[in-house]
Amino acid sequence: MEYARLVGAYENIDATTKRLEMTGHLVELFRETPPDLIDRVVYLSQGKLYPDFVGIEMGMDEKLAIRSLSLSSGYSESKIESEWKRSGDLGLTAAEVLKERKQVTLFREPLTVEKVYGNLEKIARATGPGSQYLKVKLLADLLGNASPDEAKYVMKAVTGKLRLGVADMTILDALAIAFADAKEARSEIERAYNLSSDLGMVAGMLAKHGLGAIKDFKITVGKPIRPMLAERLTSIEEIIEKTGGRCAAEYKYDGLRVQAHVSSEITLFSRRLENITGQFPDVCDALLKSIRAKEAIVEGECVPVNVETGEMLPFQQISHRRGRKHGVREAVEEFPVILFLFDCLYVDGEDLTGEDLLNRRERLKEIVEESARVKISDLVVTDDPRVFGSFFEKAIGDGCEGLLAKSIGADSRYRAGARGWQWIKYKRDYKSEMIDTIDLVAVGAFAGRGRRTGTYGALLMAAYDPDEDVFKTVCKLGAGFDDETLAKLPTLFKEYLIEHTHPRVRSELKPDYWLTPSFVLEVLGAEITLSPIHTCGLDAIREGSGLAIRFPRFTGTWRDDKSPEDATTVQEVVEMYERQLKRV
Amino acid sequence: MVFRAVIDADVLKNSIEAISTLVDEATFKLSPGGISLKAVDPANVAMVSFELTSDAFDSYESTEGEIGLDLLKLVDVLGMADRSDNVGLELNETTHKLTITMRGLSYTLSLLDPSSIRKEPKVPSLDLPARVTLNGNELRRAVKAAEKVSDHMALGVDGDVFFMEAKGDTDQVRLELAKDELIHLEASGPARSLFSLDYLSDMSKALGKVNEITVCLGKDYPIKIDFMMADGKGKVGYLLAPRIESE
Repeated sequence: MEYARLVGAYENIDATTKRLEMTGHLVELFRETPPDLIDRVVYLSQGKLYPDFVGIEMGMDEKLAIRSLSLSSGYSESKIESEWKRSGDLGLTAAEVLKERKQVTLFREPLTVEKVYGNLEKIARATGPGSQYLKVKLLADLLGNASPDEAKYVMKAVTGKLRLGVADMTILDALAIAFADAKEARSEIERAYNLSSDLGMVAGMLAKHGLGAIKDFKITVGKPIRPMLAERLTSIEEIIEKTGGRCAAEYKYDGLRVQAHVSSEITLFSRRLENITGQFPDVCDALLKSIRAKEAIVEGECVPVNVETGEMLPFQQISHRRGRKHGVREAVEEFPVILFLFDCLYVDGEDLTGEDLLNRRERLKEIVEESARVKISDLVVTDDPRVFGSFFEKAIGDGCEGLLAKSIGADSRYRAGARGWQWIKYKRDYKSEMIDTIDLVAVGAFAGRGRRTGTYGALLMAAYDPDEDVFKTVCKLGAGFDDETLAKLPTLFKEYLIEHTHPRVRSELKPDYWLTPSFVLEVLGAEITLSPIHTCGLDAIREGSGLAIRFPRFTGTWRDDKSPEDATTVQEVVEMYERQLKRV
Repeated sequence: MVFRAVIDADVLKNSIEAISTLVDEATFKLSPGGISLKAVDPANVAMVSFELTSDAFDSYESTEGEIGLDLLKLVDVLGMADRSDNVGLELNETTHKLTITMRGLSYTLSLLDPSSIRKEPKVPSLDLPARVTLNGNELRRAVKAAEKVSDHMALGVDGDVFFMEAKGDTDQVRLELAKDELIHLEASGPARSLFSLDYLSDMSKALGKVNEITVCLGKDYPIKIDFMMADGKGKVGYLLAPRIESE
């Protein structure tokens, strides 16, 4: 197929902003395209070579592209560069320059789509020493044979600047019209796309084998399924109503959404369907050990975590794990993560996307053996706004963003690629940022795991209530202790350990060890949140809720100068919460 | 397919370098009579044709066939050989590799798939009115001089004079060689064409080593440059498309 045909369609599409007209031009183009080529034509029309998840993108350095243009046209690089500055578009400059070539060529052959795609692909894949020169040559080869109009689009494409504005949905529309009875076919074609994230492949299948093949389309392990997305509401009552009066309320972990494709190997895709396998070897290893199926596609949220205490850490921590090519091993050590799985889309040949949510969750539990690094998401099924509300506070206290309410009715199948009311986000409207440190009293301790075996993983901390002369819990403190301090804790606490809750301590939590209130530690947190489990400020802000410090951290300062009764009071925590409350 | 040969390192090095200056991968045709190649540079501006007959080799055995080679790698490998060394070449068809041996060293070079390399071009037939034979070093000298003022130069014949000239924005260079300074000159009319120095400079690396090169020229036409090597058992030809003279 001649590339000029493709360029003709590009010109037409460029000339319109109307989606219907765009679709019409694409329909004509697709009908004239040989079935073997249609995948490549679809990718090229979106300025791509492959579906996004493959991760091979065009984006040749403009300086190199100018060198090719100089070779093919006979104009100096500096002349081309000044032309480019004037036009602002290297594609236009290429067309102008090649209208008046200074360099004659020995041969000319019409450009074909195969040839253009082939060279663009080689350019995109070229790496290592000598690759710059190779790229220059491959592009010069195209430009040498290109008409000015062809050169314009080749240049835009190779530098990653071809933006015809052809959306996925427009291509789906055009495919339906070109190859099938539009109305009936459209949803089938879209379904195949949603299950594969690969428009080119769907187009090729449709053109070669017809709508029947599309209707039979099956999930392929290794090709990402376009994720189901959630709407957002700010009222719990409304959420419960929207989800049919009863819903599954699930922790909305503050991490990185991951779709894991498990076979003999593991492939991980991000929410935007980038392949992120290489950045998370620890997650792959953990999944291989946990998944009890030959093949599976599961979804989860990857959350940064303190391994010793099991606490979730702020989302920013995970950014250190993204986009890394080097130092992956070090990052794995430094920023460990837990994968909380929440959905199961495919198991051993069986497509589960049509099953309702709780069935999918059952299947997930069947094939997942939970471990320190792979867990199944926290979830409660409820029709009670109060249960929803306190579960939400618990989620916030545990470091989550909020809750996801998921419909559990007959309509709760997995809607790949769709954003709908079956899933609804509930996040906080307000945030109470903590600016000052507070001084809290240790009233209990949790046994350490991993590197902290033999000492404590976290301490149960409390504020002082002078009215009742008791200590009320406000957080579990695990972060901020250096190794030396940790090692000393058991000796330090030895004489203060007691069998039962100290009579002056009010706690809903049951630590492994109770302590006589004696030690005062300086603590800094990210914010103060409502909590269903801590007793500090209970009922002060909301009925049934106390207050908690989110992401607490020991500053390293022992307030030996303060007696437990000199610690920050409950009233002060309540005031801090109110004073620092801001709309999110 | 069988290919097994021994050749003087210097001859092989000069041959490959004459080609690799324009293309870095190429398909060689093998036959009982020798090896040959035609290749065009990626921008379709220059072409090289090459022939080496079997008697240029110390020993030679080959059936008909073709092999794709990464010339840059080959040049790199040959850099290990001394001028006086003999180089052994042997094709292993099953592993798709070429073994190169020299004084105890043995390299195995993976072959390229000929279908991944550009197809052999058809040589355009040209009727060029002027034909000049001269020492290759003279042309190389002219190219070097031209590079100091411009990125292109004109080559031509005016009566009994072969001239080369380059004009920059401010400066110019001209070199003239009269018939008696040349080995041979014949012309059925005036000739003058403009060429990119990028290409001429690459070609002149090989041309500078040769005592006798033949240059054929026309008016705004491609230039053809031929020379013999390996005592007349090898032949290299370059073809370079002209630039358009700007007003």
